[in-house]
Amino acid sequence: MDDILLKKIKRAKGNIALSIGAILLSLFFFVESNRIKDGAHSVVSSKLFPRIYAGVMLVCALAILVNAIKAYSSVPKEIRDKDKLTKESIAGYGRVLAVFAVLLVTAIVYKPLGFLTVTPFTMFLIFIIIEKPEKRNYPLFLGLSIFCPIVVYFAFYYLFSNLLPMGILKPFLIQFM
Amino acid sequence: MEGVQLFGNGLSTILTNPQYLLLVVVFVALGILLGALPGISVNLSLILCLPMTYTMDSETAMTVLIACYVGALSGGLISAIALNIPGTTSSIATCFDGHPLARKGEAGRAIGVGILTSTVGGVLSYIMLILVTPLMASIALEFGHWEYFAIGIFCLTMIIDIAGEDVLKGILAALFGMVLACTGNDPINGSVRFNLGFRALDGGVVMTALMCGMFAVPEIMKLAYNRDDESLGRMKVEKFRGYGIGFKDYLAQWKNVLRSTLIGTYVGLLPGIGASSASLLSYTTAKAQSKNKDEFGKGSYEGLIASETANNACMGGAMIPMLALGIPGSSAAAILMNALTLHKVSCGPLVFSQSGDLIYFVFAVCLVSVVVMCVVERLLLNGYLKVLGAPRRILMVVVILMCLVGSYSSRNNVMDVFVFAIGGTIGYFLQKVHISSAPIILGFIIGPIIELNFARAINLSRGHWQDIFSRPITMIFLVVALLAFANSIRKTAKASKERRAAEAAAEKI
Repeated sequence: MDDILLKKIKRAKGNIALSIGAILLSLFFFVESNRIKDGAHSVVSSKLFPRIYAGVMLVCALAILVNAIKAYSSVPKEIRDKDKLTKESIAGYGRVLAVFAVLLVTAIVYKPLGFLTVTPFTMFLIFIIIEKPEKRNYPLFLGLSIFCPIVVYFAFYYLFSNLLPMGILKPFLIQFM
Repeated sequence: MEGVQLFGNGLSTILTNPQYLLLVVVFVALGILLGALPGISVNLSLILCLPMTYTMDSETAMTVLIACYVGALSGGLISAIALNIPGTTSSIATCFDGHPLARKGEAGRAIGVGILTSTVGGVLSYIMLILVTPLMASIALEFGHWEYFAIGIFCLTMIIDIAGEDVLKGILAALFGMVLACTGNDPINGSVRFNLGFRALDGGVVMTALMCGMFAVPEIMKLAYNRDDESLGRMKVEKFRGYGIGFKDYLAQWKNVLRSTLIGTYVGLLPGIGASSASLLSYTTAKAQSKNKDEFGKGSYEGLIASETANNACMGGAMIPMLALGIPGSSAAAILMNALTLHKVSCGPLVFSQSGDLIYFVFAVCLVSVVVMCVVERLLLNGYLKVLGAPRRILMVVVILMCLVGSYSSRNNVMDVFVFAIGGTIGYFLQKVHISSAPIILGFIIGPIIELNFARAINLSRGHWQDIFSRPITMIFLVVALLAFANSIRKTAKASKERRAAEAAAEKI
C-alpha cells in the first residue's frame, strides 16, 4: 500500500517542480516576446507563434500544478513524511551536478584553451565521477583521455577539413597543419 | 515506361562495372561506420566525401555520395538501438522500441531486424518511385503551404500520442521544443528572437547540438546517479543468427511494412517534412493498428519495423523534390544537389528531359546501395556488438566526447557546446519526471514546419485565414489530428482513472 502512495507522492512532487519550472519559462518567453521587432512586410507577426506556444505552455503547466497539488494533499501526512531524499540519492544528484559542472566549464574554456587542452580533463573527470572509487582504473582513464581527443582532433582536421579550436596549443599544433 | 528502361540501363551499368560496385561497397561501409558514431551527422559524412568527387565524372561522383548517404542514414540505427542516441534525426522513433529491446539483451537482434527492414523499405520505395514517379510528383505538387501546415499539426498530435500516459506532459514537452526552435532569426521576417543578448544565438539553436545533448547527456548522468548499480556496467549482447528474424515472422509483418513504406515514400516526396516525421507517422499508425498496443515503447519489433522501414523509404521519396523541383528537403539533400550542380546537372522541372540518364542512374545507385548496405552492415554488426559489449561507462565517456565535437563542428560555434551541456541537463531532469527527450526534439523539428507554412500561407492569401476551409486535403489532416488528439485525451483520462482507483484502493488498505 505504502509503495503506491509513495509513488504517488514522488510523482506529485516531480510534477509540482516541473510545472513551476514550466510556468516560469513560459512567463519568461512571454515577456521576452515583447522585445521581438516585427518585419514590415509580413501579415503574421514574429511574436505570434512564440506567444501561442508560451500561452499554451502556461495553461498546461497550471493544469499539471493543480492536479499535482490535489494529488499531494490527498496523501496522508505520515506517508508524505516518509518520502525523504536518502543519503544515496543526495550523493547521486551531487554527481549529476558534477557532470553538468564539468560540461559547463568545458563549454566556457573550450575556445580559449583549445580542444586538446580541455577535453582530456573533461573525459578524465567524467570517468572519475561515474566510476566507483574501488573500480577506477586510472592508467586506462588517463590513456583514453589523452588518446581519444588526439585521434578525434586530427581525424576532424584531415578527414572533415574541420579545425577544432587550437587555443593555447596553437604555436605547437600549427606545425602539423 | 521510358523511365523503367533508363533505370534498367543504369542498373546494368553499375552491375557490369566492377569499379562502381567496389565504390558502392567501400562508401556504404564508410557511411555506416560514420553514421553509427553519435555526433557525426549524415551531412558531415557527405562533406567528407564531397571533395573527393570534384575530379570524378558525374556518374562516379554520384555513386560515391549516394553510397555514403545510404550508409550513413542506416548507420544511425546502431547507436539509436544500442546507446539510445539517434545517429540521425530520422532514427528518433527507432529509439522508442529499439533501446528497450537492447536493455533486454536483444541489441544484436534488434539491429539485425532494423537492417533488414530498412533494406526492404528502401527497395520497395525505389521500385515504387521508378514506376509511379510522375503520378506521385503530381500529387505532391497539390500540396501547398496550408497542407504542410496541417501535416505539421497532425504530426504534433502524433508526438503527444507517443509521449506516454500523460497528455499534458507530452504537450508541454513538444511546446518546449517548439519554443526552442523559435530562437534566432524568424524565417519570414528575419527578426531576431530569444537570442538572450548573445549574437551567437542569432542563428538559433542547432539540431545536432540539441539532439546530442538531449539523448547523450542524460545517459551519462544516469550512470553518474546510479554509480553503484552493477547492472549498468556492461550491455548484454546475445548471440543471434542471420538478421534475427525468421522469414515467416517477417512476412507476418507485411501490412506494417507496406504501410510504413507508403508513408515513408510519400512523406519523402513532400519537401521539408523529413524522415523524422515519416518514421514518427509510421510508428504511431502502426501503434494505432496493432493488436499489441501496450508493447509499443517497451520493446516491440512491430514499432521498430514501422519506424525503420519508413525512414529508409523516405530516402527515395526525398530524391524527387530535390531532382524534379530543385527543392532540397534537408541539408543532406542540399549537399547532394550541390554535387549535381558541380557536375553541370541543374535540378528542376527539366532535369528528367535534360539529364534523364544520370537521374535514373542515381536511382539505380540508390537501389544497389540499399542492397549492399544490407549485407555490409550485417557483416560489420558483429564488430559493433563487440565494441558495444565494452564497459558501458567507458563507452559512454567516449560517446560524450564524440557528441561534444559533433555539436561544435556543426557550425563551429561554441554556443552549441553550451546548448549541448545545458540542453542535456534539462533533458535528464525532464526524464526524472517521466518526460522523454523525443517529444522535445520532434517539437523542435515540427515547430518551424508549422510556423513557416502558416506564415507563408497567410501571406499568400493576404491575411484571409478562412482560405483554409477551401482546402480539402488540409481539412482532412486537421480533422484527423483533432480526432487523434481527442483519442489521446480519452486514453489519458482512462489511464488516470485506473491509477486513481488503484491509489484509492491502496489508501483504504
